[in-house]
Amino acid sequence: MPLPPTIPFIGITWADALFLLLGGVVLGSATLVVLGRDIIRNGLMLILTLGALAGIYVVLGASIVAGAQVLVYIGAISVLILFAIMLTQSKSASAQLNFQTQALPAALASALIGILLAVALGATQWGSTVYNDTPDPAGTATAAAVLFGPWLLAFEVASVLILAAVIGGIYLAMKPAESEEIEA
Amino acid sequence: MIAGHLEPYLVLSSLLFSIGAFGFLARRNAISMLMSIEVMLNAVNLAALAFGAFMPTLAGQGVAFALLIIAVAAAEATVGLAIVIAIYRNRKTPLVDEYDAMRQ
Amino acid sequence: MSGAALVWARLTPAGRILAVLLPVLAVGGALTTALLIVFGGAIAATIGANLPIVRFLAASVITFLITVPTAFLLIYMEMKIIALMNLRIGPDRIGPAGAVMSIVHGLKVLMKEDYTPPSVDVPVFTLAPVVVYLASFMTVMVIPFAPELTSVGLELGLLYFFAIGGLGVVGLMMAGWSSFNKYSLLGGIRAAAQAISYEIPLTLSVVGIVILTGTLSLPKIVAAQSGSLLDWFIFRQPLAAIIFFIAITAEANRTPFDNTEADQEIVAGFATEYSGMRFGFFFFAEYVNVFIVSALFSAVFLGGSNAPLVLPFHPEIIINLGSLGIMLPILAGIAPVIGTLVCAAPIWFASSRIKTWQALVAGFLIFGGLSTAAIGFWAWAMIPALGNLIWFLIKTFSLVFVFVWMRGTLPRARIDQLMGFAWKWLLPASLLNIFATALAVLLTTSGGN
Repeated sequence: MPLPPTIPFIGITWADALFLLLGGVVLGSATLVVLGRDIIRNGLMLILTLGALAGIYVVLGASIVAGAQVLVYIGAISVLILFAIMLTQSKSASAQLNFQTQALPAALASALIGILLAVALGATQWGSTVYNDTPDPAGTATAAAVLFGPWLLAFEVASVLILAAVIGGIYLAMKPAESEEIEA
Repeated sequence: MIAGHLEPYLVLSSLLFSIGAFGFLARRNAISMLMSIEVMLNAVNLAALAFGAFMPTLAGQGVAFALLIIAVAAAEATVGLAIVIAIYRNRKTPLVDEYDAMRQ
Repeated sequence: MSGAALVWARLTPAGRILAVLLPVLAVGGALTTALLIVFGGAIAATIGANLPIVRFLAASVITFLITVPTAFLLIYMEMKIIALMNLRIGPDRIGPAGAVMSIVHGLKVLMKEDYTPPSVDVPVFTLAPVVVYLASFMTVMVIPFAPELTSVGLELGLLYFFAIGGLGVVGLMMAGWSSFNKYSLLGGIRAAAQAISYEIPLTLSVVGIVILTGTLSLPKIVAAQSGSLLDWFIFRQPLAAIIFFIAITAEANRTPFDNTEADQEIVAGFATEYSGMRFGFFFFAEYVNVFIVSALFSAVFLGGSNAPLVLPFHPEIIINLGSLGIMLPILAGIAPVIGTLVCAAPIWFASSRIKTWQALVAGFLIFGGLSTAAIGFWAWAMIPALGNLIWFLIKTFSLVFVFVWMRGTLPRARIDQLMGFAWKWLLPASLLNIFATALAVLLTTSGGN
């Protein structure tokens, strides 16, 4: 008696349920990232968003990107953001007004952008093949062949950019008077 | 079947992008704005991966594109946060609308 | 009712636990048996049809459960070994040589008051220990204990390991921030700075191995070291091994890099405000982390479950127990008695001052030891996974000993020295290692194509 193809009593497939769950978590936590008052909780919600997105990447069969997402985005970038929050915030700061005066026009504009994009992207006939939701085992090898073949220049440019960012970060974090440096 | 089609991923990606755009435009805190940028970059990543997974002609390119975006996002976050902390050291505030030295 | 209450009040704590547990066990056991009789066939069919899912769930539950005794064992090891190094006796009260001490510690932690200070950020404060423990237990899932004993043989196992291992620091930062305490905040900030700085050399140091093996899967990396002793990556990538070892010491927050909870400087760091079981989660996670990083080092650099030397003979012992028939239970009942008497006889005859019961006890112990050794040898010869597992655990616990040794020996590094060391020495060294490995691979393979 194997598992039924759809969830009992609801009638949607397991992959769909996973996608809906992860997508709901992504949208909900992303909304909390931009609307929440307590900035450290915004950072934690950002981590939740990124983690749920990593789950969606696995559903899409790109597990290497999911791994890189958790490693770089959650393990490094989000921790850096939390670090910066802890350096720049005090507990009383979260009680201040969080939004600028342009919040209402911004909400209208971004809602417009979202609706337009969603309608346009959803209504277009992309002519894509239906994905059979089994991860492609050769996907990583194919991506590596692309990345180190035709896209090698982009890869090199990205590495130069990272080098520039490292140097820039050290320069910005340097104290003006002494030459002692602090890695932030 | 929702997860087996391209469109739901694109709709999710566009909604995520608009949420990030709103956060970037509306928040006062510089670090909140950086977080919104990360959300927007992730929306782009999701779209790229969805195209790469569903379009046979783009096989592998979505993953390569997403990895490059992650690398660039790491660089962006490093420099952005370094700038925020450097400004905070001078002005003692993380709120962007109080960075108004040029106006006075 | 008052009679029951009186009886309850007279019971010792152990008696109360038993009085609650025994009826539950009796009813539960009877119910389980009845359910198994009625639905056993259907359950077996379901399990058979969904074998991968069942295997995954069972592996998750088992890995979750083995983290707790592992942590107890490591805590006891640390207490005892450091005591011996300090010329103290260490724990000696409960169990032989105090062996049950850490379990009693665990029970004590469970019974303590779980206090939430009034000014904390309650949801974040509550979730932080869970995140820390979850991150360390999720990494146990990919450890290749033996080729047959890997709970999840992920293709991207090493990447998964580093990714999930990096999640723990998020929990530490949550604890540090939500405690609303300067010391906790300092501990959280230190944890973040240290984790980010050391994650880079940690990840870069294994790139050389990934170049050599062409895979991120931990079982395949172990299999790539299956030849002689010189195939271990600690001999083929010594620089990477040194960098990796230093980096995992920092990642596990062990001495000399335990600045996140340096008790002489910042009380207990991120854990200052925690008490009861929530503190226990941090404490457990720390020791599980020591085990995990030791296991990872032994899997990646010390050949994992491969034996350091291949035995010249391969014993083949085939005993068909079924052919004995009805004699089997009779033999199983008689053999211990005869064995005990045979082992006790020489002791009894050796000296007239030894009493009979002493000789019998000694004989029973000798026979028990001999038969355990024989059964163990048979199992080791018959089940290859057991031998692999034993080698893996020997290597892992040797490394745990090294970590404890370092804690008993080395002073703590200063935080700025710590950060400077990661960025100025480890990062360039790991980049050098990548370049050297890639160059060597290029030079040795370019002739072929």
